[in-house]
Amino acid sequence: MGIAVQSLSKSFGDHQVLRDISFSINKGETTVLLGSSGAGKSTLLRMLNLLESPDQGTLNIANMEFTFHKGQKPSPSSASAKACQLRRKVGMVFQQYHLWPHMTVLANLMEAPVQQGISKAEARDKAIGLLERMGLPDKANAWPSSLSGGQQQRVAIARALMLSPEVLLFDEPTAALDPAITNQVVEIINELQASGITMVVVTHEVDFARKIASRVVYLENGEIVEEGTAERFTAPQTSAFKSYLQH
Amino acid sequence: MGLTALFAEATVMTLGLALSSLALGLFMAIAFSLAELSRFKPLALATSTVVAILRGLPEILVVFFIYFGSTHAIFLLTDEFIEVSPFIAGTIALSLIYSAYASQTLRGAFMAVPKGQAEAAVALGISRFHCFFRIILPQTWRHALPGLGNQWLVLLKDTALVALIGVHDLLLQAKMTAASTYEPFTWYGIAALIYLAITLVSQNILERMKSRSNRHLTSSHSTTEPPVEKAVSHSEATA
Repeated sequence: MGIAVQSLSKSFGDHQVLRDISFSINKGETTVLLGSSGAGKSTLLRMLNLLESPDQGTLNIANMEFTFHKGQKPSPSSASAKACQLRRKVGMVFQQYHLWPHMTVLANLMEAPVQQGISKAEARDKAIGLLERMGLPDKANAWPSSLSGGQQQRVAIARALMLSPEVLLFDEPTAALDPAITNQVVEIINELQASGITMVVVTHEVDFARKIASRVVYLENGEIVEEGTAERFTAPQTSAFKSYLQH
Repeated sequence: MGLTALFAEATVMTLGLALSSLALGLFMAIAFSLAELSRFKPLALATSTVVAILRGLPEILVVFFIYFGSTHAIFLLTDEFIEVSPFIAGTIALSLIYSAYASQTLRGAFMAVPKGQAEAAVALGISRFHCFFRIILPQTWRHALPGLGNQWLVLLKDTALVALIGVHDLLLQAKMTAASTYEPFTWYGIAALIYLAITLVSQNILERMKSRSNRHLTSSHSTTEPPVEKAVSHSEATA
Protein backbone atom coordinates (compact mmCIF):
# COMPACT_ATOMS: atom_id res chain seq x y z
CA MET A 1 0.00 0.00 0.00
CA GLY A 2 1.24 3.49 -0.80
CA ILE A 3 -0.66 6.19 1.02
CA ALA A 4 -3.86 6.09 3.07
CA VAL A 5 -5.37 9.13 4.66
CA GLN A 6 -8.33 9.01 7.01
CA SER A 7 -10.55 11.87 8.17
CA LEU A 8 -7.85 14.52 8.08
CA SER A 9 -8.92 17.98 9.18
CA LYS A 10 -7.01 21.20 9.47
CA SER A 11 -7.89 24.74 10.48
CA PHE A 12 -5.84 27.91 10.46
CA GLY A 13 -7.51 29.96 13.19
CA ASP A 14 -11.23 30.08 12.40
CA HIS A 15 -10.74 29.09 8.80
CA GLN A 16 -11.16 25.39 8.14
CA VAL A 17 -8.86 24.49 5.25
CA LEU A 18 -9.51 20.75 5.12
CA ARG A 19 -12.62 18.87 6.26
CA ASP A 20 -12.66 15.16 6.91
CA ILE A 21 -10.42 14.12 4.01
CA SER A 22 -10.06 10.39 3.31
CA PHE A 23 -8.49 8.69 0.33
CA SER A 24 -5.96 6.04 -0.53
CA ILE A 25 -3.36 5.75 -3.22
CA ASN A 26 -1.78 2.55 -4.45
CA LYS A 27 1.92 2.09 -4.74
CA GLY A 28 3.33 3.25 -8.06
CA GLU A 29 0.42 5.48 -8.98
CA THR A 30 0.61 9.12 -9.99
CA THR A 31 -2.19 10.99 -8.31
CA VAL A 32 -3.06 14.56 -9.17
CA LEU A 33 -4.65 16.81 -6.56
CA LEU A 34 -6.64 19.25 -8.64
CA GLY A 35 -8.60 22.30 -7.62
CA SER A 36 -8.63 26.07 -7.74
CA SER A 37 -6.53 28.25 -5.43
CA GLY A 38 -7.58 27.99 -1.81
CA ALA A 39 -9.15 24.54 -2.22
CA GLY A 40 -6.67 23.16 0.33
CA LYS A 41 -4.70 20.98 -2.07
CA SER A 42 -1.28 22.39 -1.16
CA THR A 43 -2.01 22.10 2.55
CA LEU A 44 -3.05 18.48 2.01
CA LEU A 45 0.16 17.75 0.10
CA ARG A 46 2.29 19.39 2.77
CA MET A 47 0.63 17.19 5.37
CA LEU A 48 1.81 14.08 3.55
CA ASN A 49 5.34 15.23 4.43
CA LEU A 50 4.28 16.62 7.83
CA LEU A 51 5.34 20.13 6.86
CA GLU A 52 1.87 20.90 8.22
CA SER A 53 0.42 18.78 10.97
CA PRO A 54 -3.25 17.87 10.79
CA ASP A 55 -5.58 18.79 13.67
CA GLN A 56 -6.98 15.29 13.58
CA GLY A 57 -7.01 12.17 11.47
CA THR A 58 -4.74 9.30 10.53
CA LEU A 59 -1.97 9.26 7.97
CA ASN A 60 -0.42 6.07 6.60
CA ILE A 61 2.48 6.65 4.28
CA ALA A 62 5.57 4.65 3.32
CA ASN A 63 4.68 2.03 5.97
CA MET A 64 4.58 4.58 8.78
CA GLU A 65 1.47 5.60 10.71
CA PHE A 66 0.72 8.96 12.29
CA THR A 67 -2.41 9.64 14.31
CA PHE A 68 -3.56 13.09 15.33
CA HIS A 69 -6.24 13.94 17.88
CA LYS A 70 -7.99 17.22 18.29
CA GLY A 71 -6.57 19.44 21.02
CA GLN A 72 -3.68 17.08 21.66
CA LYS A 73 -0.28 17.98 20.34
CA PRO A 74 2.15 15.14 19.72
CA SER A 75 5.27 15.49 21.87
CA PRO A 76 7.62 17.53 19.68
CA SER A 77 10.85 15.54 20.01
CA SER A 78 9.46 12.09 19.26
CA ALA A 79 7.19 13.48 16.59
CA SER A 80 10.02 15.30 14.88
CA ALA A 81 12.37 12.29 14.98
CA LYS A 82 9.65 10.15 13.42
CA ALA A 83 8.79 12.96 11.03
CA CYS A 84 12.46 13.11 10.03
CA GLN A 85 12.34 9.37 9.27
CA LEU A 86 9.25 9.89 7.17
CA ARG A 87 10.77 12.73 5.18
CA ARG A 88 13.70 10.57 4.15
CA LYS A 89 11.19 8.25 2.45
CA VAL A 90 8.88 10.96 1.15
CA GLY A 91 10.54 13.55 -1.09
CA MET A 92 9.15 16.95 -1.97
CA VAL A 93 9.55 19.27 -4.94
CA PHE A 94 8.43 22.88 -4.47
CA GLN A 95 6.92 25.38 -6.86
CA GLN A 96 9.77 27.84 -6.23
CA TYR A 97 12.39 25.02 -6.31
CA HIS A 98 14.07 26.32 -3.10
CA LEU A 99 17.53 25.31 -4.24
CA TRP A 100 20.21 26.52 -1.84
CA PRO A 101 21.82 29.40 -3.75
CA HIS A 102 25.15 29.37 -1.91
CA MET A 103 25.88 25.78 -2.93
CA THR A 104 26.67 24.38 -6.35
CA VAL A 105 24.19 22.05 -8.01
CA LEU A 106 26.30 19.07 -6.94
CA ALA A 107 26.49 20.29 -3.33
CA ASN A 108 22.72 20.83 -3.30
CA LEU A 109 22.25 17.19 -4.29
CA MET A 110 24.84 15.78 -1.88
CA GLU A 111 23.83 17.73 1.24
CA ALA A 112 21.02 15.57 2.63
CA PRO A 113 22.47 12.11 1.87
CA VAL A 114 25.92 13.03 3.22
CA GLN A 115 24.39 14.42 6.42
CA GLN A 116 22.47 11.16 6.74
CA GLY A 117 25.61 9.07 6.62
CA ILE A 118 26.15 8.13 2.98
CA SER A 119 29.77 8.46 1.89
CA LYS A 120 30.71 11.49 -0.19
CA ALA A 121 31.97 9.38 -3.07
CA GLU A 122 28.75 7.38 -3.21
CA ALA A 123 26.58 10.51 -3.00
CA ARG A 124 28.65 12.15 -5.71
CA ASP A 125 28.30 9.19 -8.08
CA LYS A 126 24.58 9.08 -7.48
CA ALA A 127 24.26 12.86 -7.99
CA ILE A 128 26.13 12.74 -11.28
CA GLY A 129 23.97 9.84 -12.43
CA LEU A 130 20.77 11.72 -11.57
CA LEU A 131 21.95 14.90 -13.26
CA GLU A 132 22.58 12.88 -16.39
CA ARG A 133 19.10 11.38 -16.13
CA MET A 134 17.66 14.90 -15.80
CA GLY A 135 19.60 16.02 -18.90
CA LEU A 136 21.94 18.29 -16.95
CA PRO A 137 25.25 16.42 -16.97
CA ASP A 138 27.34 19.58 -17.42
CA LYS A 139 25.70 21.57 -14.63
CA ALA A 140 27.25 19.82 -11.61
CA ASN A 141 29.49 22.75 -10.69
CA ALA A 142 27.06 25.47 -11.74
CA TRP A 143 25.46 27.84 -9.24
CA PRO A 144 21.66 27.57 -9.12
CA SER A 145 21.27 31.26 -10.00
CA SER A 146 22.89 30.65 -13.39
CA LEU A 147 20.24 28.07 -14.38
CA SER A 148 16.90 28.66 -16.08
CA GLY A 149 13.67 27.94 -14.21
CA GLY A 150 13.21 24.59 -15.94
CA GLN A 151 16.76 23.56 -15.17
CA GLN A 152 16.37 24.59 -11.53
CA GLN A 153 13.21 22.52 -11.27
CA ARG A 154 15.02 19.49 -12.68
CA VAL A 155 17.82 19.98 -10.15
CA ALA A 156 15.18 20.16 -7.41
CA ILE A 157 13.69 16.87 -8.65
CA ALA A 158 17.15 15.29 -8.70
CA ARG A 159 17.78 16.56 -5.16
CA ALA A 160 14.56 14.92 -3.95
CA LEU A 161 15.51 11.67 -5.74
CA MET A 162 18.92 11.53 -4.01
CA LEU A 163 17.34 9.83 -0.98
CA SER A 164 15.61 7.22 -3.20
CA PRO A 165 12.20 8.13 -1.79
CA GLU A 166 9.26 5.73 -1.99
CA VAL A 167 6.92 8.67 -2.50
CA LEU A 168 7.58 11.93 -4.31
CA LEU A 169 5.37 14.98 -3.72
CA PHE A 170 5.18 17.87 -6.18
CA ASP A 171 3.70 21.22 -5.13
CA GLU A 172 2.65 23.11 -8.29
CA PRO A 173 5.85 22.06 -10.07
CA THR A 174 5.03 23.87 -13.30
CA ALA A 175 3.33 27.03 -12.03
CA ALA A 176 6.45 29.10 -12.66
CA LEU A 177 7.39 27.46 -15.98
CA ASP A 178 6.37 28.17 -19.55
CA PRO A 179 4.44 25.52 -21.54
CA ALA A 180 7.44 24.16 -23.47
CA ILE A 181 9.36 23.61 -20.24
CA THR A 182 6.28 22.13 -18.60
CA ASN A 183 6.51 19.30 -21.13
CA GLN A 184 9.99 18.47 -19.89
CA VAL A 185 8.54 18.05 -16.40
CA VAL A 186 5.79 15.87 -17.85
CA GLU A 187 8.41 13.64 -19.47
CA ILE A 188 10.35 13.35 -16.23
CA ILE A 189 7.24 12.51 -14.20
CA ASN A 190 6.19 9.87 -16.72
CA GLU A 191 9.69 8.40 -16.69
CA LEU A 192 9.64 8.30 -12.89
CA GLN A 193 6.26 6.59 -12.97
CA ALA A 194 7.71 3.89 -15.19
CA SER A 195 10.36 3.33 -12.53
CA GLY A 196 7.61 2.55 -9.99
CA ILE A 197 7.75 5.51 -7.64
CA THR A 198 4.50 6.73 -6.06
CA MET A 199 3.82 10.37 -6.86
CA VAL A 200 1.33 12.97 -5.69
CA VAL A 201 1.18 16.15 -7.74
CA VAL A 202 -0.67 19.32 -6.81
CA THR A 203 -1.63 21.48 -9.77
CA HIS A 204 -4.38 23.69 -11.06
CA GLU A 205 -3.45 23.13 -14.71
CA VAL A 206 -5.84 20.66 -16.27
CA ASP A 207 -3.69 19.96 -19.36
CA PHE A 208 -0.67 19.16 -17.23
CA ALA A 209 -2.81 16.96 -14.96
CA ARG A 210 -4.19 14.97 -17.92
CA LYS A 211 -0.71 14.20 -19.19
CA ILE A 212 0.59 12.69 -15.96
CA ALA A 213 -2.29 11.39 -13.87
CA SER A 214 -3.23 7.77 -13.30
CA ARG A 215 -5.62 8.95 -10.55
CA VAL A 216 -7.24 12.26 -9.84
CA VAL A 217 -8.59 13.83 -6.66
CA TYR A 218 -10.61 17.00 -7.17
CA LEU A 219 -10.96 19.33 -4.17
CA GLU A 220 -13.21 22.30 -3.53
CA ASN A 221 -13.30 24.33 -0.30
CA GLY A 222 -11.31 21.78 1.66
CA GLU A 223 -13.42 18.79 0.66
CA ILE A 224 -13.00 16.01 -1.88
CA VAL A 225 -15.64 16.50 -4.54
CA GLU A 226 -14.59 13.75 -6.90
CA GLU A 227 -11.91 11.11 -7.08
CA GLY A 228 -11.16 8.24 -9.39
CA THR A 229 -8.94 6.98 -12.18
CA ALA A 230 -7.67 9.14 -15.01
CA GLU A 231 -10.83 8.23 -16.97
CA ARG A 232 -12.62 10.85 -14.88
CA PHE A 233 -10.98 13.46 -17.09
CA THR A 234 -13.13 12.29 -20.01
CA ALA A 235 -16.11 11.16 -17.95
CA PRO A 236 -16.48 13.37 -14.88
CA GLN A 237 -19.19 12.22 -12.44
CA THR A 238 -19.94 15.53 -10.77
CA SER A 239 -20.99 18.79 -12.33
CA ALA A 240 -18.41 20.68 -10.24
CA PHE A 241 -15.50 18.71 -11.69
CA LYS A 242 -17.03 18.84 -15.14
CA SER A 243 -17.19 22.61 -15.05
CA TYR A 244 -13.64 22.84 -13.65
CA LEU A 245 -12.35 20.76 -16.59
CA GLN A 246 -13.98 23.15 -19.04
CA HIS A 247 -12.08 26.21 -17.77
CA MET B 1 63.36 48.56 24.78
CA GLY B 2 63.35 50.63 21.62
CA LEU B 3 60.34 52.67 20.68
CA THR B 4 59.73 50.53 17.60
CA ALA B 5 59.40 47.42 19.75
CA LEU B 6 57.12 49.25 22.19
CA PHE B 7 54.85 50.41 19.39
CA ALA B 8 54.84 46.96 17.83
CA GLU B 9 53.82 45.46 21.15
CA ALA B 10 51.08 48.06 21.63
CA THR B 11 49.79 47.38 18.10
CA VAL B 12 49.63 43.67 18.87
CA MET B 13 47.71 44.51 22.06
CA THR B 14 45.21 46.66 20.13
CA LEU B 15 44.77 43.94 17.49
CA GLY B 16 44.48 41.21 20.13
CA LEU B 17 41.84 43.18 21.98
CA ALA B 18 39.91 43.91 18.80
CA LEU B 19 40.05 40.35 17.47
CA SER B 20 39.11 38.68 20.75
CA SER B 21 36.23 41.16 21.17
CA LEU B 22 35.17 40.36 17.60
CA ALA B 23 35.16 36.61 18.22
CA LEU B 24 33.28 36.85 21.50
CA GLY B 25 31.05 39.62 20.14
CA LEU B 26 30.03 37.66 17.04
CA PHE B 27 29.18 34.65 19.15
CA MET B 28 27.05 36.78 21.47
CA ALA B 29 25.50 38.61 18.52
CA ILE B 30 24.27 35.31 17.03
CA ALA B 31 22.87 34.33 20.43
CA PHE B 32 21.20 37.73 20.90
CA SER B 33 19.68 37.78 17.42
CA LEU B 34 18.30 34.23 17.77
CA ALA B 35 16.95 35.07 21.23
CA GLU B 36 15.24 38.15 19.84
CA LEU B 37 13.68 36.06 17.05
CA SER B 38 12.65 33.37 19.53
CA ARG B 39 8.99 32.41 19.72
CA PHE B 40 9.38 32.32 23.52
CA LYS B 41 8.29 35.90 24.16
CA PRO B 42 9.86 36.52 27.61
CA LEU B 43 13.30 35.62 26.22
CA ALA B 44 12.81 37.84 23.16
CA LEU B 45 11.68 40.72 25.37
CA ALA B 46 14.56 40.32 27.87
CA THR B 47 17.11 40.27 25.05
CA SER B 48 15.60 43.31 23.35
CA THR B 49 15.84 45.16 26.68
CA VAL B 50 19.51 44.27 27.16
CA VAL B 51 20.29 45.31 23.57
CA ALA B 52 18.37 48.57 23.99
CA ILE B 53 20.31 49.39 27.17
CA LEU B 54 23.68 48.59 25.58
CA ARG B 55 22.89 50.69 22.55
CA GLY B 56 21.64 53.52 24.73
CA LEU B 57 24.77 53.93 26.85
CA PRO B 58 28.00 55.73 25.92
CA GLU B 59 30.71 53.17 25.09
CA ILE B 60 33.11 54.60 27.67
CA LEU B 61 30.48 54.16 30.38
CA VAL B 62 30.11 50.46 29.50
CA VAL B 63 33.89 50.06 29.69
CA PHE B 64 34.09 51.77 33.11
CA PHE B 65 31.04 49.94 34.37
CA ILE B 66 32.45 46.52 33.47
CA TYR B 67 35.95 47.27 34.78
CA PHE B 68 35.28 49.22 38.01
CA GLY B 69 31.73 47.97 38.43
CA SER B 70 32.64 44.28 38.30
CA THR B 71 35.36 44.68 40.95
CA HIS B 72 32.89 46.50 43.16
CA ALA B 73 30.17 43.92 42.53
CA ILE B 74 32.50 41.06 43.41
CA PHE B 75 33.46 42.92 46.58
CA LEU B 76 29.83 43.41 47.55
CA LEU B 77 29.01 39.77 46.90
CA THR B 78 32.03 38.02 48.39
CA ASP B 79 33.66 40.66 50.60
CA GLU B 80 36.89 40.04 48.72
CA PHE B 81 38.77 42.53 46.64
CA ILE B 82 39.52 40.81 43.33
CA GLU B 83 40.83 42.94 40.53
CA VAL B 84 39.59 42.00 37.08
CA SER B 85 42.35 42.27 34.47
CA PRO B 86 41.88 45.38 32.31
CA PHE B 87 42.33 43.29 29.16
CA ILE B 88 39.53 40.89 30.11
CA ALA B 89 37.24 43.68 31.28
CA GLY B 90 37.98 45.59 28.07
CA THR B 91 37.28 42.54 25.90
CA ILE B 92 33.97 41.89 27.65
CA ALA B 93 32.90 45.53 27.41
CA LEU B 94 33.86 45.86 23.73
CA SER B 95 32.28 42.55 22.76
CA LEU B 96 29.05 43.52 24.53
CA ILE B 97 28.95 46.79 22.60
CA TYR B 98 29.79 45.05 19.33
CA SER B 99 27.21 42.31 19.87
CA ALA B 100 24.44 44.81 20.65
CA TYR B 101 24.84 46.46 17.26
CA ALA B 102 25.80 43.33 15.31
CA SER B 103 22.77 41.43 16.64
CA GLN B 104 20.51 43.93 14.88
CA THR B 105 22.37 43.45 11.60
CA LEU B 106 22.16 39.68 12.00
CA ARG B 107 18.49 39.73 12.92
CA GLY B 108 17.70 41.55 9.69
CA ALA B 109 19.90 39.14 7.77
CA PHE B 110 18.19 36.08 9.26
CA MET B 111 14.83 37.48 8.23
CA ALA B 112 16.13 38.11 4.71
CA VAL B 113 16.68 34.37 4.13
CA PRO B 114 13.46 33.04 2.55
CA LYS B 115 11.47 30.55 4.65
CA GLY B 116 11.50 28.07 1.78
CA GLN B 117 15.24 27.56 2.25
CA ALA B 118 14.77 25.92 5.65
CA GLU B 119 11.62 24.18 4.47
CA ALA B 120 13.49 22.48 1.64
CA ALA B 121 16.03 21.20 4.17
CA VAL B 122 13.33 19.98 6.57
CA ALA B 123 11.55 18.22 3.69
CA LEU B 124 14.76 16.29 2.96
CA GLY B 125 14.95 15.07 6.57
CA ILE B 126 17.90 17.33 7.42
CA SER B 127 18.08 18.08 11.16
CA ARG B 128 17.30 21.58 12.47
CA PHE B 129 20.82 21.95 13.84
CA HIS B 130 22.47 20.97 10.58
CA CYS B 131 20.07 23.15 8.60
CA PHE B 132 20.96 26.20 10.71
CA PHE B 133 24.71 25.86 10.25
CA ARG B 134 24.79 24.67 6.63
CA ILE B 135 21.80 26.33 4.98
CA ILE B 136 20.71 29.38 6.98
CA LEU B 137 23.88 30.80 8.51
CA PRO B 138 25.94 30.90 5.28
CA GLN B 139 23.12 32.82 3.58
CA THR B 140 22.74 35.13 6.56
CA TRP B 141 26.44 35.83 6.30
CA ARG B 142 26.10 37.34 2.83
CA HIS B 143 23.39 39.74 3.96
CA ALA B 144 25.13 40.62 7.23
CA LEU B 145 28.72 41.00 6.04
CA PRO B 146 28.60 44.68 4.96
CA GLY B 147 27.02 45.73 8.28
CA LEU B 148 29.27 43.52 10.40
CA GLY B 149 32.31 44.87 8.55
CA ASN B 150 31.29 48.43 9.36
CA GLN B 151 30.84 47.54 13.01
CA TRP B 152 34.24 45.86 13.02
CA LEU B 153 35.85 49.17 11.99
CA VAL B 154 33.98 50.92 14.80
CA LEU B 155 35.09 48.23 17.25
CA LEU B 156 38.69 48.58 16.15
CA LYS B 157 38.65 52.28 17.01
CA ASP B 158 36.69 51.74 20.23
CA THR B 159 39.67 49.73 21.52
CA ALA B 160 41.29 53.11 22.18
CA LEU B 161 38.77 53.57 25.00
CA VAL B 162 40.36 50.84 27.06
CA ALA B 163 43.56 52.87 27.32
CA LEU B 164 41.58 54.71 30.00
CA ILE B 165 41.38 51.60 32.19
CA GLY B 166 45.09 50.95 31.77
CA VAL B 167 45.33 48.47 28.90
CA HIS B 168 48.66 49.10 27.27
CA ASP B 169 47.36 49.61 23.77
CA LEU B 170 48.40 51.78 20.87
CA LEU B 171 46.78 54.95 22.20
CA LEU B 172 48.29 54.60 25.69
CA GLN B 173 51.71 53.97 24.14
CA ALA B 174 51.40 57.07 21.94
CA LYS B 175 50.30 59.15 24.92
CA MET B 176 53.20 57.98 27.08
CA THR B 177 55.79 58.50 24.36
CA ALA B 178 54.35 61.90 23.50
CA ALA B 179 54.57 62.93 27.14
CA SER B 180 58.13 61.74 27.66
CA THR B 181 59.57 63.11 24.41
CA TYR B 182 57.46 66.30 24.22
CA GLU B 183 56.71 65.36 20.58
CA PRO B 184 52.94 64.76 20.58
CA PHE B 185 52.51 65.58 16.88
CA THR B 186 54.96 62.87 15.83
CA TRP B 187 53.78 60.12 18.16
CA TYR B 188 50.02 60.65 17.91
CA GLY B 189 50.60 60.91 14.16
CA ILE B 190 52.38 57.56 14.12
CA ALA B 191 49.59 55.96 16.15
CA ALA B 192 47.08 57.42 13.70
CA LEU B 193 48.96 55.94 10.75
CA ILE B 194 49.00 52.52 12.39
CA TYR B 195 45.23 52.64 13.06
CA LEU B 196 44.72 53.73 9.46
CA ALA B 197 46.91 50.92 8.13
CA ILE B 198 44.91 48.35 10.11
CA THR B 199 41.57 49.70 8.85
CA LEU B 200 42.81 49.76 5.25
CA VAL B 201 43.95 46.15 5.47
CA SER B 202 40.60 45.26 7.11
CA GLN B 203 38.67 46.92 4.34
CA ASN B 204 40.64 45.02 1.75
CA ILE B 205 39.98 41.70 3.48
CA LEU B 206 36.29 42.59 3.88
CA GLU B 207 36.03 43.38 0.16
CA ARG B 208 37.41 39.94 -0.66
CA MET B 209 35.06 38.26 1.77
CA LYS B 210 32.14 40.14 0.22
CA SER B 211 32.99 39.11 -3.30
CA ARG B 212 33.47 35.53 -2.12
CA SER B 213 30.08 35.57 -0.41
CA ASN B 214 28.54 36.87 -3.64
CA ARG B 215 30.36 34.53 -6.00
CA HIS B 216 27.26 32.39 -6.56
CA LEU B 217 25.54 35.45 -8.05
CA THR B 218 28.35 36.80 -10.17
CA SER B 219 29.74 33.69 -11.85
CA SER B 220 28.01 30.76 -13.44
CA HIS B 221 30.27 27.94 -12.24
CA SER B 222 32.21 27.23 -9.09
CA THR B 223 35.91 27.63 -9.71
CA THR B 224 37.03 26.27 -6.35
CA GLU B 225 35.78 22.76 -6.93
CA PRO B 226 37.45 20.46 -9.43
CA PRO B 227 35.43 19.86 -12.59
CA VAL B 228 33.33 16.75 -12.62
CA GLU B 229 34.91 14.08 -14.73
CA LYS B 230 32.84 12.71 -17.55
CA ALA B 231 32.18 9.00 -17.64
CA VAL B 232 34.71 8.63 -20.44
CA SER B 233 37.84 10.69 -19.98
CA HIS B 234 39.51 12.36 -22.95
CA SER B 235 42.64 10.22 -22.79
CA GLU B 236 40.57 7.06 -23.00
CA ALA B 237 38.43 8.46 -25.78
CA THR B 238 41.38 9.41 -27.97
CA ALA B 239 43.56 6.41 -27.15
